[in-house]
Amino acid sequence: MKDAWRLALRNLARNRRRNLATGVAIAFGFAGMMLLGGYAIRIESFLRTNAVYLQRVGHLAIYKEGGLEKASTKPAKYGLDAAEQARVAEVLAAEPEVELTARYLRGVGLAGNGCKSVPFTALGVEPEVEARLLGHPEVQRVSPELARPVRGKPLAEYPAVDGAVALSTGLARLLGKSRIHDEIAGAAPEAGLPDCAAPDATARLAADANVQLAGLTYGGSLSAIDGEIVNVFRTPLAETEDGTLVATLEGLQRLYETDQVTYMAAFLKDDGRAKALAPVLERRLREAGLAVSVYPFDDERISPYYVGSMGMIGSIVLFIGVLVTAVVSLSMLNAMTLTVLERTREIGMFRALGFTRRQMLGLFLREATALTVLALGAGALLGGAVAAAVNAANIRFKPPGISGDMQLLITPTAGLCLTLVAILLPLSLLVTLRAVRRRTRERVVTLLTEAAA
Amino acid sequence: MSGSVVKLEEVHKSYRLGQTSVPALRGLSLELRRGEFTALVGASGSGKSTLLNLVGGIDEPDSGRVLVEGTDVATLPDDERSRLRNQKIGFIFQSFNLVPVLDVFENVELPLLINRRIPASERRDRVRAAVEDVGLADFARHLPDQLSGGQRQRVAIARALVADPLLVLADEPTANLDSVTTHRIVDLMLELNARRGVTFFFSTHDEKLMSRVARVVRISDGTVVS
Amino acid sequence: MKRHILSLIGLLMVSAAHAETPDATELLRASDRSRGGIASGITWQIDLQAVEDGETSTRAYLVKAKGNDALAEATAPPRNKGEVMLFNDRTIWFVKPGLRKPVSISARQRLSGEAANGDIASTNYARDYDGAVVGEETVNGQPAWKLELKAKAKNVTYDRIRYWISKDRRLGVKAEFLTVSGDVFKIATFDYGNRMTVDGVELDFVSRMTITDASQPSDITTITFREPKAESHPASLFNINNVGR
Repeated sequence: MKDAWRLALRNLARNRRRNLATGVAIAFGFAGMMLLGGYAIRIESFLRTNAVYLQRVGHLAIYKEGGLEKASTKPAKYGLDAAEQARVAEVLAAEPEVELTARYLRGVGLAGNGCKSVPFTALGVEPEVEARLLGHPEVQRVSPELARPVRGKPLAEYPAVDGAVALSTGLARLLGKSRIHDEIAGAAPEAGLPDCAAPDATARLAADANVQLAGLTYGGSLSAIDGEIVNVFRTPLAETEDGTLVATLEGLQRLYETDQVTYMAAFLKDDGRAKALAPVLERRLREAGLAVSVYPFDDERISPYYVGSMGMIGSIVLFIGVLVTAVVSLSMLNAMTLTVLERTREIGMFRALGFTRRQMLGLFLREATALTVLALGAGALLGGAVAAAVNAANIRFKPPGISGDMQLLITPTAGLCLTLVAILLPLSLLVTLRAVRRRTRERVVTLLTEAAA
Repeated sequence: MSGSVVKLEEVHKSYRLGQTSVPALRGLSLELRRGEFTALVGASGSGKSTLLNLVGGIDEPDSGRVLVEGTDVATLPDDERSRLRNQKIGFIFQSFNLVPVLDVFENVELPLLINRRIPASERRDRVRAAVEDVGLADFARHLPDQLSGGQRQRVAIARALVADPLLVLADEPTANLDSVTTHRIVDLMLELNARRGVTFFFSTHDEKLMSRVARVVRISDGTVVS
Repeated sequence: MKRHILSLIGLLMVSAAHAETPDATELLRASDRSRGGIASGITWQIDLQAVEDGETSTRAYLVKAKGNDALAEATAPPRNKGEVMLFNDRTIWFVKPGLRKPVSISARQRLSGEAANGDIASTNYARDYDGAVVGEETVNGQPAWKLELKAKAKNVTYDRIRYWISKDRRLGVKAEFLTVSGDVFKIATFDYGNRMTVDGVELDFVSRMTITDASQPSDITTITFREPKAESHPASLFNINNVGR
């Protein structure tokens, strides 16, 4: 009914100041939620990308049963051997939702520079797979800073370098390795031990990009290999910054004298499918005779940081969302209650002219809808403008627990906006209904005379 | 010009005022015939408004029957009663009750918006005719607060007539107007009554108007006295 | 004057108590001697057998020690032959044939089974720990002093040790190794079946150290010490730049 909408719009102009205040409350509430939600969306995708691709958890992590808990203390018993790896790969290859599969060996040890040693946690990766993961569009879009080595190039670009390793910036610093392979320009490593107390010890430590990695083999004896630092990178988490090392799978297997891997990771085409696919693949793998467990990336045991952070962010968003909802509801309730009160006699007049109760309700609901939609539209414009301004300003900050800084990006999605509209609009109408209903049900004569009194 | 439009039979109506019940109508019976132009006269508090409200179907009697074209209004469900008001009864209020954000044309158009079967073009024609009938053709796009009191009441009259009702009820339509304007409004109502054959029933306490109408119903203490 | 008498009495009482309980450092120094902590050079052989999860692994080392230095050369299994651990004071170097540089490793790091790297070299608790005698107990029928040891530095093998030293021969007979928070995680007992002569003095020398995992008693690592003998080693033997080349 076009005329009823026209009337609703005209009525909005009747108490301009009040409706403006209500509209502003709704618009700000919407814009606020849009920004907060947009920020949460950005953080979620950042943390998810970091967990899945940069911490190499994969969308699905496949461990030998019990391996997630026990592989660090009993690696030989809880790793996947070559035959198992092949069978897992076979099952994953048959699943069309899997985009990429990777094998990872995790281990600990000491990295030495000839003077001192620093404990490390190492990840052995397949360089070709690694290159594809770091170049993944999702990674490039969401977390390009962390995907790029701070210095040097990805492992895959050094097939000829024996024992190529990548060190986290903190680990390189602790070892005094300020230069990497590319920057040494072919200088042969110094023979023997540098005099660590000499005044030029720092310079001599930095003269080559060579490190020694020592660790216990899967057989239980001490072993060591030479490594050549080809790049230095930042880890997604601050707590791992001082002791993370990425080596080739083959190199790390040599150190630990094993053909096993700690886990295999499946990268999916669709993020959202991880949870659903995990039990399906686990069943399939078990049917193939493999005693393995499959964990989705958002399993707390796999990505405690992701799950913990998202839980916290979720509570904040929920809390503020409830506040905003309350503010929007109350201002709408206030506005509509006053409107109805002011127009009691008019309601009576409309009823006298033959408008039914339902039609009266319809008039007010249209009015509320018009006000809410206009306010939401304004809110969307405001939120979009603020988000664009913030994003364009390239504000950088250092989030807690994450190494390095990241850009403050606010990425509200259409889905977020629609969700907010789907919550706020019906809410506003519900509140209006609550405010108007009783009045429209009164006897016409009461409406006409009450206000006159 | 015959046939009963409205018939009230032994209508009682009282109002609660705190703990006490104040009788407004006490066994009132009355009949209005098609095309009649009737003034309802009585002191304030005599029950004029109550009577008009009952006839207009916006209030219900405690006992007795109010028949509009033979239908007992009180027995109708609310939506039916709304439809009856819309199609058969036009209201003119003492305080005009125009919608301030709608212009003259739109105010007059209101009753027609309810009945969706009326096409827009016909609606436009009828509104234009009604506005012309009350002599406000030049003011069609004016808002109520740009009009004088008399002009506003003309708008109200046009709105009451636009749906071609059987009966127009007017509760003290001239109470808020000066005497010159009052006479013009009454002239207009008389003219419309004559031209369109609409039944008019209006209340007033202005004795000067009595001489101008065909029938005067006087009520006092809730009953018809003449 | 009165004050002087009082302090004299106090002094007498302290020395009386001293006579009763031996000095902890003295006790440690005495017991360390029988576990390789000798200033002059000695040599012994070690067979290490670790049982873990029912699987047994063995390895062997030739250990040469002198003062604060020790050199442990792997002799078995064949694949580890030539690997050397060099203990310079508290610094430990791991040298592997073919590796460009030695790696400094930690004394605490697991060597094999329950044995830490620090367990195979000469023991020098007197140097590495602050000790206190906290009581007397009988261990395997032998009356012993019970000592609490706290690490002087972070790079020693254990943070805290409860150590029982027999009263008669002053030998460390039992040790409980504790985490920083005070939980026992390993228990060791010692046998002294070896004898050797150092500077004309014959002493008991450790023949076996048996280490049991506190949380998994079936995991037992046995370090057998064989053929201890006095031998003079040149200081250059313990220079890292000379090792493995």
